[in-house]
Amino acid sequence: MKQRILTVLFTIAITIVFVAPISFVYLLTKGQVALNEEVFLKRAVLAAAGITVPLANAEVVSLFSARAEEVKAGDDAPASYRITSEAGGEPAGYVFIRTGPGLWGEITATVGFDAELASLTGVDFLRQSETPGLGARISEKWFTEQFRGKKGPFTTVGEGEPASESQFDAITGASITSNAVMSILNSTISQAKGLVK
Amino acid sequence: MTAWSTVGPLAVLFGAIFTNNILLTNYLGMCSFLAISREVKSAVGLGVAVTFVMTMTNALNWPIYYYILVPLDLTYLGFIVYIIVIAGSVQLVEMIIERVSEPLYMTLGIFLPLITVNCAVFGAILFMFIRTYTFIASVAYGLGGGLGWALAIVAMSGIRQKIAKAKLPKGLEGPGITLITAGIMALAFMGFSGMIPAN
Amino acid sequence: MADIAARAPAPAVRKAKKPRSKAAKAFFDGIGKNNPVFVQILGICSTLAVTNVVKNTIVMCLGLIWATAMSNVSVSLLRKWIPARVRMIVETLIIAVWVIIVDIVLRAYMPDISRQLGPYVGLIITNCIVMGRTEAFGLANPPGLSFIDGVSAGLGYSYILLIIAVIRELMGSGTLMGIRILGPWWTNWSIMVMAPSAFFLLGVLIWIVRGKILKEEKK
Repeated sequence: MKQRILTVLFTIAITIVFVAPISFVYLLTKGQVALNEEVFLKRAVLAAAGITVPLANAEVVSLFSARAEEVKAGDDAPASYRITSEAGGEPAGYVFIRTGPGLWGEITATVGFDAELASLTGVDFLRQSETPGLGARISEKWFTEQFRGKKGPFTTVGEGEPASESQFDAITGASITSNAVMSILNSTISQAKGLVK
Repeated sequence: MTAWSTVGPLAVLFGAIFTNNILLTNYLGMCSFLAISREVKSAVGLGVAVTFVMTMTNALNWPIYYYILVPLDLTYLGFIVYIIVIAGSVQLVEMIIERVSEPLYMTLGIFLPLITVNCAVFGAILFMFIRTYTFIASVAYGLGGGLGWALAIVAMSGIRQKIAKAKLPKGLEGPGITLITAGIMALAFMGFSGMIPAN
Repeated sequence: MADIAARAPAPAVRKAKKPRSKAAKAFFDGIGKNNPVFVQILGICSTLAVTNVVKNTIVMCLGLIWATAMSNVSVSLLRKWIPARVRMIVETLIIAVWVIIVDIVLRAYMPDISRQLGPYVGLIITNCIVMGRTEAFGLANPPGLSFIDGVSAGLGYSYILLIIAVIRELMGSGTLMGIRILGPWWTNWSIMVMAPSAFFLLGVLIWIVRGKILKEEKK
C-alpha cells in the first residue's frame, strides 16, 4: 500500500518538473494558435458568403472586417453575420453558423444566404469529426462549392450525378453524413427569416 | 462556449460497442491484445478490467477538464493529467483484482499495469472531448468503449483458439492472421452502421 | 508472459554487411533484421487511422520519430535515477512531454493537418513502440546511442506506414499527396479509405516480410 502511494507521489513530482518545458512552448505559440482559430472562422464565413478568400492570413482578417459584421441575437443564439457588398450600404447577404448532429459528433457549418434569404451563397464547415476519407470529405472544395446559388429545401443525389437547384451530390459511402448535412441546411433554410432581426 | 453534442447516452453506449468500436473502427488497443488472447478466459478478465478503467477515467477526466483545465487555460497539460488519472485508476483496479481474484491477478500479470498505456483507454478520453459529449454521455462512452473493446478482444481470442490448429502459410502465423481476422471483423461490424440513426 | 523488455522492434531491411561501430550497429539494428516484426506492427496499430492520406502519414511519422528519439534520449539521461517501480509511468510522462510539444507546434504552424490528424497525435504517447524503445534501449544505453536507436526505430516503422498509406490513398482516392494520379478510368476502392483495409494491408505486408525472413533463416 505504501509502495503504491510512493509511486503516485513520485510521478506527481516528475510531472511538475516536466510541465515547465511544455508551458514554455505553449506560451510561445499561444498567440499563433488563437490567430489560426480566428482566421479559420473568418475564412469559413467569407467562403460561405461567396466572397473569394485570399491566401494570406492578414488579408483575410482585413477583408473580413471590411465586409462582415457580427449580429448578436442573444447569448445562446448561434452567431450570424451580416455581409455588406463591396460598395457598402445595403446588406448583400447573411451567413449563419449552424450546428447539427453528424455521424460521429457534431457538424458545425457556415451557411451563407443572399440578401433576400432565398438562395445560398455558399457553405463551409467549421467542425466535423466524420470518417476520414468518407464523411470528412464534406470539407472538400467540390462538395462545398456545389451549394452556391442553390435553393432549398434539399434532397440528395448520388455523387457525380447532375443535381438541380434543390438537390446536391451526396458522398458515396457516406450517406449518414450527407443526410446530416442535408438536415442542417434544411433547418437553417426554414429558420432563416427568424434568425435575422 | 461549448456546443454540447446532442447524441444521447444510450446511442453513445451502443454506438461505442458496435458501430464505433474503438478497436475495430479506430484501431486502438491492439497492442496488449496479441499476447493475452491465447485464452478466452484471460481475454474476458482483461476486458472487464479495461472496461472498469475506461469508465472510471472518463468519469474523472471530464470534470477535471471542464471545471479545472478550461477555466485556468491549462488545457495543453491535458495529456499529462489524463495519464496520471489513468495510472491512478489502474492502481485501484489492480488492488481490487488482487483482492477479489488472486488467480486472475496472476494470469493477467504485467498486462494489468500495461492498461496504463493502452491506446484504447487514452483514446476514449480524447474522443469524448473532441465530440463534446456531456458528462453522462462520456461515462456511457467509457463503458461502451470498454465493452466494445472487450467484445472485440474476446471474439478474436475465440477465433484464434479455433484457428490455432489450422494449417497456415508460415508467414501468416501470429500477427499476420490476427490482423486479417481483425480486418474481417471490422468489415462485419460495419454492417451495424445502420443501427444508430442520426437523430 | 511476454516481457516488454524482450520486445525489440524493427522490420527487415537488407543492408550491406561490413564491420560497424556501435553507433552504426544501433542504427541498422533499429531498422534491420533479427527483431520480431510483430511487436513493431502492433505499435503501428493506432497510427493506421491516418494512413488513408499520405501527407498526414508523413507528418505523423515525423512526429513519431521525433517523440521516439527525444524520449529515448531523455530516459537515457535519467536512467540512473528512475526507481524501478515507477519506471513505466515516468517513461510515459516523458513521452507525453515530447508529444505535447509536437501537438502544440502542429496546431500553431500546420493547423489544417493538425485538424485532420485530430487525436491521433496525442495517441503517439500510448504507442507501444515509443514505450518499447525507451524500455528496451533507453534505460540501458547512453544518450547518443539512444538517440540513434530512437530515430532508426522511428524510420523503421515509418516506411511500413508509408507503404500502406501510398496503397490506400492511391486506390482509395486516386491521388497521392493530394495530386490526382489515376485518371477518371479508375473507380475508387472505397474500402481502401475505410478501417478494414488497413488491417488487411498490414496483415499481408507482414506475411510477405515474415515469409522472406523465414526463408532467409532457412538458408
